Amino acid sequence: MSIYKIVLLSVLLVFISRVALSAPLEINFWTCLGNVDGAVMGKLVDQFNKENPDIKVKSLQGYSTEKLMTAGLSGNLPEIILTRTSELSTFIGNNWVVPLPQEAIKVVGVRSQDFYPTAWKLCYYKGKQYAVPLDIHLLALWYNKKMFKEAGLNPVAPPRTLEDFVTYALKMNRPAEKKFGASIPTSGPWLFVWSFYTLLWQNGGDIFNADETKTLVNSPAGREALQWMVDLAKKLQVHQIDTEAGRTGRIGMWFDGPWVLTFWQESPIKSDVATAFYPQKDLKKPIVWAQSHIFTLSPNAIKDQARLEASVKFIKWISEHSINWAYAGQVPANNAVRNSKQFLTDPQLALLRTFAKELPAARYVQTTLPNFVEVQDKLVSKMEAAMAGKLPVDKALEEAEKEINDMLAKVKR
Amino acid sequence: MSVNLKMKNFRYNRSFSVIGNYLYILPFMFFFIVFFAFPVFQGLYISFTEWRVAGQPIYVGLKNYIELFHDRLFYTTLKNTLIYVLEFFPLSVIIPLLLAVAINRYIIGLDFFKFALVAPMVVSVSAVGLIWKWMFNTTFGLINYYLEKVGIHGPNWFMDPKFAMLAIVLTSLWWGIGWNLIIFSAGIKNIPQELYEAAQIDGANRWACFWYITLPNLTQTLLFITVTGLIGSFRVFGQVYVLTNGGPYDSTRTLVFYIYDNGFRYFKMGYASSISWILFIIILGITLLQFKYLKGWGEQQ
Repeated sequence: MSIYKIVLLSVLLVFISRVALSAPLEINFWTCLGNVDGAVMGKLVDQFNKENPDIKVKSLQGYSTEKLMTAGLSGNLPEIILTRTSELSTFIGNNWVVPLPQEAIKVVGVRSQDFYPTAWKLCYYKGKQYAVPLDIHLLALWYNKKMFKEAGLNPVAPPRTLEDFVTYALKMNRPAEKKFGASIPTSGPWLFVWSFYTLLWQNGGDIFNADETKTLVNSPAGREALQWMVDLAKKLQVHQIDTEAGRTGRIGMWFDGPWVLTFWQESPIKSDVATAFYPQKDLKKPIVWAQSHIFTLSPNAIKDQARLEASVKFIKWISEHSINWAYAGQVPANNAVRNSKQFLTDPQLALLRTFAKELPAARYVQTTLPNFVEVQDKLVSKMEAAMAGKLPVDKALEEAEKEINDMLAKVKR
Repeated sequence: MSVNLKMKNFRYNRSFSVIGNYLYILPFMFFFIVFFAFPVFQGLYISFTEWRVAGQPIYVGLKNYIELFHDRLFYTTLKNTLIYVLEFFPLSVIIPLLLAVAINRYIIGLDFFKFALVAPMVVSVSAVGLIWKWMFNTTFGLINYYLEKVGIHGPNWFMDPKFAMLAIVLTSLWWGIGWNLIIFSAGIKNIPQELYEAAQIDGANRWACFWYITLPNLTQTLLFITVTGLIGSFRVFGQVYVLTNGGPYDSTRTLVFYIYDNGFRYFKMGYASSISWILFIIILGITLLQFKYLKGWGEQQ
């Protein structure tokens, strides 16, 4: 072999190895987000890629379960999936996620004391940690200060108890002029059922018994909760008024999460909108429905150490930079971010800070069922019947109880 | 000898052309088998199994079908689907037919109408849902606003189980009649103008022209629209998904929506497949009946 050939070969080898080494590690990241918050997350991912040239995160905002299903079956799941605490048991049941390897968590430095304790606890399933929390979102009271003033109510003293809430609502209510003291969800999943859970818990009830073999919705607490919703809708004569209808300036109060922050900041009545704690039955024991977005790892993330560490590093980075995520209308789960000067003082986050202060009242739906949505669908259907006056409250919850218990008996645990 | 040779050539040509024909449809057949025929029969197999997505399907025989016949919600969804088909399908044929006649025979040149009526078709179902959700809003919606103007107290569209399906039907009509309108328009354009002229000389009025010329000449078109339209209306899904999510009180939960729920939200693939096969059998039965009884339509003339 001539000297030229050896030189040429070694140059080539060096070149190839350089290319191979400098090629960034590609990580896929799918989220459950929508258009607005998805765009914010997309920007955060771009920033991460810029600051970490050795890792390239490709993100998909807004996965569908169909997509996850096919990806799961063909072994093409993304390394990281952002989902919600209420869906964790389903993801585990479908083998889409794996317990987080504790060494990697330690090596990268994701520590429990850095996160809001309740959110951190909800990332555990049967004693194993499956996720890292990104944020906490919970319900609160949104209200229109202008309508308060018009009805002679103090706009900086919104109602704190459920009783006061009804009184205030009736004071502002003028159905003939299409002005409503409050809007209350009357159908559909989400806000409708989350309001019910909040009231159910406030009344001392719960969705399931301890081992999730029976539902407890048909209890005095459950009946009182649903009756309160039915009565309120009747008293106020509100029908099918979505919370967005508040944009018209004709709704006094409504319940919603923090994720509508940008929606209201861009609305025509932005200077009139304010937030307050969710009204309570017992002010000494405040309770409100909450949920978290959580980072989970799929089986593909633990294939090799480099991939795993890069994935955890990404999760840690996003968590530490979640002040940007707060602007999408989410309370960061990371303590340092939540206690940062920017979060505590930026006027743009004023409405969101109510939610952060409400955190001690946060209560999550805790379930180990792989098909919790099926329970919820059955409950929602009967609740809708009660709202529409098709079934009396006790009969509606009795039917829901029977159907849910039949279903629970068939669940393979 | 020469005759023999000719025969040979003929045979060769014919067999070649047979192979050639298969070659022409090969690309289609490939995709048909891979993406349609195979999944359909795979679905039949899955309907005899219990498959919770994680792990392998477990054979359970007729368990899914037996469970299905005891499932109250299955009957509700079947009933809802039939209500939708019975309300939507006849209107989705009659309205575009009359509109097509009006536009093509009497408002000649007014392409604007045609465009306006067809335009909704190109809007995605999620956009349609968002628009009509607000149109049907009980308190702030346009529909109840105008109903009130003429003295009718508008219903609680999406909260009242009696009216929710009607709202879906009306939305679907606005969204869906454009397609049938195009087909009817094409059919009407193909009717020779002389027929109408001859009829007019004989003193036929507009109604007679429609009844004795337009309609009989459209039977082939009608057959096509009846068959495809009926199949389409049995598969209603998107509008329900965006507008009502199956509620209130399950009043708009249709068969396909129930398949989706079971398959992609409850992860009961076997059960979802068995409902799919029931729906397939219903549609197949109705289509066969249609062919049997409507086949003569085009040939009578």
